[in-house]
Amino acid sequence: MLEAIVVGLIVLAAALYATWTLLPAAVRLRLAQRAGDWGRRPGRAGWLQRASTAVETAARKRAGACSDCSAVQATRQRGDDPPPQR
Amino acid sequence: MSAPAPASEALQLALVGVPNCGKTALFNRLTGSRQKVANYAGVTVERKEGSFVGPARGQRYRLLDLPGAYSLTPTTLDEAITRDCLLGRLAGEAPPELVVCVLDATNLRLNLRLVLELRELGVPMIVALNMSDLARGRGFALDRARLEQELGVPVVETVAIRDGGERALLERLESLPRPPARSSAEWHTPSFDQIQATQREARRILHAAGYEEPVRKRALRRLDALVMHPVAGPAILAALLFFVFQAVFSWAAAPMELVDAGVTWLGQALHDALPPGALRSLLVDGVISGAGSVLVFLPQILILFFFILVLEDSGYLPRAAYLLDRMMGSVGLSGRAFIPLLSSFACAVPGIMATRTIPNVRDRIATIMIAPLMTCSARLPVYALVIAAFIPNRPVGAFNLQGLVLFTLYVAGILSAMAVAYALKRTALRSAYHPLLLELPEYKWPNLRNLLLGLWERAKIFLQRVGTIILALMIVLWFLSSFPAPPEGATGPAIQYSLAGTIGRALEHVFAPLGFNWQISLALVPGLAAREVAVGALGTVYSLSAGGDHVAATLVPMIAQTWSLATALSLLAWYVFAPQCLSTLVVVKRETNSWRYPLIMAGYLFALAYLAAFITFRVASALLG
Repeated sequence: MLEAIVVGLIVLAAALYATWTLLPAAVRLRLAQRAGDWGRRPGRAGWLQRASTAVETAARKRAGACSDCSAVQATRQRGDDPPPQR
Repeated sequence: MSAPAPASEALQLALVGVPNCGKTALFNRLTGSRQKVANYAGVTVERKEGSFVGPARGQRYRLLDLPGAYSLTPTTLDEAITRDCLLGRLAGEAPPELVVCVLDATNLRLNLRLVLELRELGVPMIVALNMSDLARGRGFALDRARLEQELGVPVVETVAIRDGGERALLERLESLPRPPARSSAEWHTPSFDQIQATQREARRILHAAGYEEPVRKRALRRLDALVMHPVAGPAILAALLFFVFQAVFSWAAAPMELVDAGVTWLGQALHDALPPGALRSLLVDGVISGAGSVLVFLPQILILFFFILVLEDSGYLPRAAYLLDRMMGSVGLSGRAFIPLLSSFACAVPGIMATRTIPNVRDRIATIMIAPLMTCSARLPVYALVIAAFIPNRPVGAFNLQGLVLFTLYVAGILSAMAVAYALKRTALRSAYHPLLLELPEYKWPNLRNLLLGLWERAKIFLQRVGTIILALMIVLWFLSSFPAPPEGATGPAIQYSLAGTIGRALEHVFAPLGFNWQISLALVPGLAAREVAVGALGTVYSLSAGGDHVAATLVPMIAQTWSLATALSLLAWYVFAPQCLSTLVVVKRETNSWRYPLIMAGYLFALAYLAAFITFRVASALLG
């Protein structure tokens, strides 16, 4: 039974991830923004606020539409990782 | 003089300069990013953003890397982005407070017009004389202090590809007071007389600053005469490409065997460690057989990119563009299409974005439409799998037969692209021929750091794809291939009764005329997400089809046993044209602002792929029996 639950969760997570990744970037960004707005409403739990912000940031990072394209890799957006100290 | 800015408030900088002056290398050096750099014009076609903190005062800077522009009068889309950003015309984006105008110190005659236009615009500016080490080494003479005096703006020397090469720029940046915030500016296209006056002023300033260009080395002149010779040039280009494809097979054999052995060992270890059940099947048949069979191709991809990066960094590629201009022109394409098409060998997405450097809309659309016919790196695993299974690894004269077949497939893609361009340019996208005006950069030894970083980036991208989207799709495919469970008394492998088996057999009706069995037909579907996923899908499907209690053998011997040679050749022909991945279609929609072109593209590529595979299968079946 436990094995079936674990396998089911892995498959569900993989299906959700694949769907999310293959969505057009504009749709993904719109959805992430909505999720972010919803998650950051006053009164929401701290972890929910952090998770929704993370989803939004991740969606914005991948807005170049193709993860294979080196042109969209490592683009640092405002508010992402701390900038290097020169 | 304004007071120094508070350290917490980011000062907005923009890097501008003519194409191929080293803006992106400087951007990478300052921000620690790893944006693509190469020794030819037009690599950056969109605005990129990064940030860094000054070493002395802790001032935070927000840095924009803008596409190269020769002046503020744009002739292409990417140049228009630069102008609009500088003038504050981009929606939601304030104009930069300070501009770092990057100049190629070995080509100041071409670079200075932009500085003078920016000065006229009243933009606060620092001039960075980039590649100053190269200029000194080659004997260029320049009085930097006098240039600074003549221009009336700070001038510093930089070497963007070296550690510490940005130090002078940082020191100057930090010593400057914060410029006042700018609002939008006006710019009127200069008249011919005004342009001439600007050029005269540029020449006067350079003369005053004691600028002298050395005589070009005789050896380099001879090298150019050879590589751009109308007969010897194309022969050298063909030999170079041929060597690359030979190397992709011969050099990669040992590391591929190593990765393959690792994957097989891991599969066996998991098989032995876990009890029979769904979890073991998921990990062994889904994850290891699926994602593992794609992972094996990492060495080949890295070898291919090693050569591409070396050619990019050396300055040879623009010369190849010059050589191929006649061929491109004969099918109606602009010579400017070369760089976008070349980029498409890595991935069609940056290739399509790079078409922004093509000024004529019809030329640009024609280039976008044929970009997916260039063999992107995602197709390499499919080719390599089929070639390894069906083409004997034996020498043909001085060459290796497998490398020869791979070379032929790449050439087939190029010739098909030229044929499609010919058809488009003589029908729907007819336009006048635009002669190629191309700046030939000086030859350079490839920079080892750039080379290693480039390879590391490619390896990371490939491994990330295998570990994310490919892995996720393999897990979903495993689920579809394992459920529902076979009925009582079923004799064949469980996959035959699964949802994936049902879908595969339904698709088989469409693809049977091409010689594709239901497993191949099924693998083509996830291959739409990314082409190399088809290899992983075949790995999972065949692993589950094998059944029994043993770990399936690797994919190559399995397909060699079950497919005919005609089927293998048909699949190769299919993948020369294969309808491109979804990301490409989305980017085409974004770049053309219409669904019309992606739909036409998907339709014509599917039709061509089907036709080519059908003819190949029928002819091969008739000849081979």
